[in-house]
Amino acid sequence: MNACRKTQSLLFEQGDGRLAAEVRAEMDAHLTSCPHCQRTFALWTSALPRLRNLSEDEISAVSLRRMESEILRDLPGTVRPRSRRTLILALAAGLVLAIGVGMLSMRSATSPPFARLQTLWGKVTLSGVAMTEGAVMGPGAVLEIAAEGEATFLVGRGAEVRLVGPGRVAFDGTTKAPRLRLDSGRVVVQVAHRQSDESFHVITAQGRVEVKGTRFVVGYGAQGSYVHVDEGEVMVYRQGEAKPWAVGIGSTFWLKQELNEDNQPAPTPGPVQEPAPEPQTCAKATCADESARVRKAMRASHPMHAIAIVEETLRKFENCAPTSRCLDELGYLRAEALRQAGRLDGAVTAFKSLNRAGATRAMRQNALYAAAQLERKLGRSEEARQSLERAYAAYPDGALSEEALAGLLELFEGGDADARAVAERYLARFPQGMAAARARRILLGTPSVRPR
Amino acid sequence: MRPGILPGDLTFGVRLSTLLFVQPEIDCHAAGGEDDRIADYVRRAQAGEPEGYKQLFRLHVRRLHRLVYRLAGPGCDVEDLVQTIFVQAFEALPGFRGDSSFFTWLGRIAIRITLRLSKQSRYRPLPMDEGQDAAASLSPEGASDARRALARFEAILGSLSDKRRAAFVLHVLQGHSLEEVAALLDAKVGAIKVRVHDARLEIERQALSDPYLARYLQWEAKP
Repeated sequence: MNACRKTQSLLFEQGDGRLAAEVRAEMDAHLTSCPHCQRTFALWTSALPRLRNLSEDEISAVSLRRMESEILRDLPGTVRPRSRRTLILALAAGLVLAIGVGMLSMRSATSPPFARLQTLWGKVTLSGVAMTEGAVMGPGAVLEIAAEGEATFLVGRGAEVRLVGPGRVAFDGTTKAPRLRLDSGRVVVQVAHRQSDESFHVITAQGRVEVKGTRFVVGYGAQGSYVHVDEGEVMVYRQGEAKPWAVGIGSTFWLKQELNEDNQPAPTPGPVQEPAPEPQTCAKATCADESARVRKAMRASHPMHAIAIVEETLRKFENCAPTSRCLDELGYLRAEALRQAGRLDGAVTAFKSLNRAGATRAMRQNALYAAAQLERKLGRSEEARQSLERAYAAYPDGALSEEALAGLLELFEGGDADARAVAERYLARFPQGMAAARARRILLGTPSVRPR
Repeated sequence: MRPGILPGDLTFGVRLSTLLFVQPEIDCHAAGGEDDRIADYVRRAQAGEPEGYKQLFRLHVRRLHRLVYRLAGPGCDVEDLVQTIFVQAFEALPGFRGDSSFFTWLGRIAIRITLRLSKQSRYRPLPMDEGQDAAASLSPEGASDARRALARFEAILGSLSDKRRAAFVLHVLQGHSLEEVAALLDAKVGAIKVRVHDARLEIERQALSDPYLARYLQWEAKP
């Protein structure tokens, strides 16, 4: 009986190989002669690997970043002025520094560059020459972007332009009044509020869009060019019409004139589009409440219930206009729930659908990164690579930029030219990052020592 | 919703893949180089360098998350618990003298906080509207064997007393030695042996009476 008790108490020590040879021999001897202990040993030998694998998935990179930033934000013992005297000295030093920086910025208060290529995915050429991130352009630049490509430009003061290929765009005007001529493709534009002496125009073959500060998309479709407004309002000047149209939030407006049966311009309803009666906005609290219910269901490991709540909520929203943020939030939760339910293909699609014009950069990055993780899990490396590239391009300064580049490094472990290019990009951005050693190994041509 | 933080900051997907033997998750006695590195980060954190805290967090968060998840059980807000543990541990870091490994010290704090807070309503599993159980709520196509087995096994773990569950999780699931578990739980090795033994018997009893779990654990064909 004592031998049984001893054997069973050391069952897992033996399984993990922690027993001394003589103790192990003693256990083996007992096991050969004791059916009861043999049974227990057999039970756990088969079950232990399964139980150890039967666990929560790895915590997501998004959650890690969030936790890290929140924990580090209010660290108890970080270096900071501790005494009153030190505090005064620090304040004085800060004041001097601020004055210095202010003077320096006044001295160097030259105009910002007309346009700068901020992020790039795919190929963009300027007069036939491939461009790289950080390139600066002046007025008159004509860019072409390849199919499947995306590039983000900072234009003038406070405007961000994302060009989605295939497309062609010409930059013109001044830093205070940039003009983009879109020949093909699609641009997603976010413009900070303009001062009285500033303007921003996007020109297509059929007209011109003028904004005072808003977010909108201009592109070409089957009926010519169009503008879709995500926030605020834009003024649209159609060719051949003297007076502008005001296009408000959530509206899509075709710049091409409608033609009647005689191929003549159809009579227009008026110089300025009457704003349609806005549907009742969905209560903010409703969205928050429903999101909370979805989260609860997920935390209780009820993903299908979570999905049902999302769908029920969307049905509730049929009679009101939810904000795009609310829809994105629900969309993200639905994607997470699909992942939790093991419906990975559906989750990938759901995540990728969040990479849409109008979604915040953080949302787009996070959704694309999540899609890439699942694509890797599904063995779709090429798709995962594209998603990671897009996740990085969506928000180069975002919380998951480092993870996106690190993910690319893992996919490019082979050491070819692509791998080296990614390694160089990674080290340029994150020289002390979590995958810096891997990047250096790739550049040195040393194979990874970690089995994958 | 703040930039960079998503409504989907939830990671409740279950790893469904490999069924091969896995090494224990936690190695209290890290390799020498790793020990030195951790000691350096501890020193830097104690000196008030944010980088020290950051590296300590990054090095330990994943395994701490696993430990807390297994101790607290499903439905708990594990991420909130993990965050609370790190905040309290970092506040107490000036008092860490290096008498044990950093993870043993952190693990003690984690176990104490998890066992205390997981009883509070804000961390407890939230009741479902329909009162379904976890397995029943999954659609046939979405429910995998592993997920269902996980739900059932977690229910058994949840039925154990705190002491037995902690000892079993640390020794059997996390792979700590009996001595390490004793240090983590501030108990004698003999007491840990008894707790693991009692927990094991209870788990065997419940799992063998659950045909689904018994089949998943390959226990049904055993004599």
